[in-house]
Amino acid sequence: MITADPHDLAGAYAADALTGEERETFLRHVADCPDCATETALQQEAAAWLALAAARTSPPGLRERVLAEAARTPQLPPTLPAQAGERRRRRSTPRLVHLALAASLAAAAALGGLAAWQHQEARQTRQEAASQAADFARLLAAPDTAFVKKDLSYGGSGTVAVSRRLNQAAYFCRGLTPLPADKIYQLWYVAPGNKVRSAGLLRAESTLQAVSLPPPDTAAALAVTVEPSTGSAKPTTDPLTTWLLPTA
Amino acid sequence: MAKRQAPGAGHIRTSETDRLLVSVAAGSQDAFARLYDAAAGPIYGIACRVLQDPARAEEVTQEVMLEVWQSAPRYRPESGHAMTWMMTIAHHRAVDSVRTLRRSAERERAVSQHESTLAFDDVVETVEALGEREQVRSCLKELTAELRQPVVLAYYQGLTHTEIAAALSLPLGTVKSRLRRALTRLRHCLGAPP
Repeated sequence: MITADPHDLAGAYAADALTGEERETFLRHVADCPDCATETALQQEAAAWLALAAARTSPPGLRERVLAEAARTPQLPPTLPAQAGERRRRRSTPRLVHLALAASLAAAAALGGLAAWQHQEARQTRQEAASQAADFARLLAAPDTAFVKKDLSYGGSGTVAVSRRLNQAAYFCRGLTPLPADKIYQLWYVAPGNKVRSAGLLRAESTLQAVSLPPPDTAAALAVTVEPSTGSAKPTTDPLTTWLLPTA
Repeated sequence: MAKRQAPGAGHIRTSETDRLLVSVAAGSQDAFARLYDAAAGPIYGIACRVLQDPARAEEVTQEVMLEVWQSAPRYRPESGHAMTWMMTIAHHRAVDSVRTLRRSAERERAVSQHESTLAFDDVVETVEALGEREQVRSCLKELTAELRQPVVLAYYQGLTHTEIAAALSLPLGTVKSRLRRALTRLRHCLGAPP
């Protein structure tokens, strides 16, 4: 239920006074309203004080249990910055920004309560665009950069660019098949000994996409799987495709 | 507070907990232990208050701390304070949990029947019981009753704005705008969380 002034819902949202459906409606609105995202973040700051004021001594033994559980629980991969090609266009076409924000907000709704941050994060990525573009330029110009291309059985093609000298890599794909909203492509580095680590998440957003990957280090291959929309700590499905990376 | 910049402005003062959360994002279990010491009390406290059930609140605290550990790599200090980020997760989980319990126990109707009589006393009691942060209590007290009631009912008792409207016999739109005004005034009174 959106009132005449949707800004008013920022308070109800920050205090978790909205029902699930209203939250989603509000988040869709925020996706198109940067001011609302800022307002929501401020309202959440005030709400956080109310939690701090209610502090109590936590139960004995809980600390050890939580630390032990964390020690055996892998962390989620950081969300990769949006695609570079997308970013360049964002400056001239704000609508694309909104679409990207809508996507990040939808992901936030799934996580719960993190909308404002995801939104700010998306704004941040825009500012990082320039340095990202410089990274790509350096990789593409490096003398040892190798390109490994594969046609993808699930549509389009994917190319990995890797420079061992720079310890830098990027992934380019064309015509990636979009997935349902609750799924996402996730890239993985596979190092000798079958050690797998996340190389980031990949949304099908435009015909041609470029993603900066984390440093490959000893990775011998790049693989892609389909995962739940928030990404996984370890692959939960079989790889769709694997690219063997040239060694130094 | 005029000196504070809006999130995203890129000039937010980094607090100790922000730095800890960044270290946690890099996988530091030592930083996570220290973050636990800073955050577990408020998380457990708000869960207790919303759920009114220490055992369930303990479970929620454990779930929230684990979510903090897992999601830390997605935290951006430029976007807001770690404490706000963690409290947002905690409160959302606690409210989710209490609403599920209320639904499954079919207590929702019973709750709303009692609200109109309980609401006012509860608000006063709840505010008085906030021992940990004198500053927050005094800022809450500075609010007029009409702003204080909705925010206390929403935040500390996990009521939806519809339930609050029913409890206070107010139009829905009034509840929404009062929630926002109450939080705005609190923030002006308190600034950003540590």
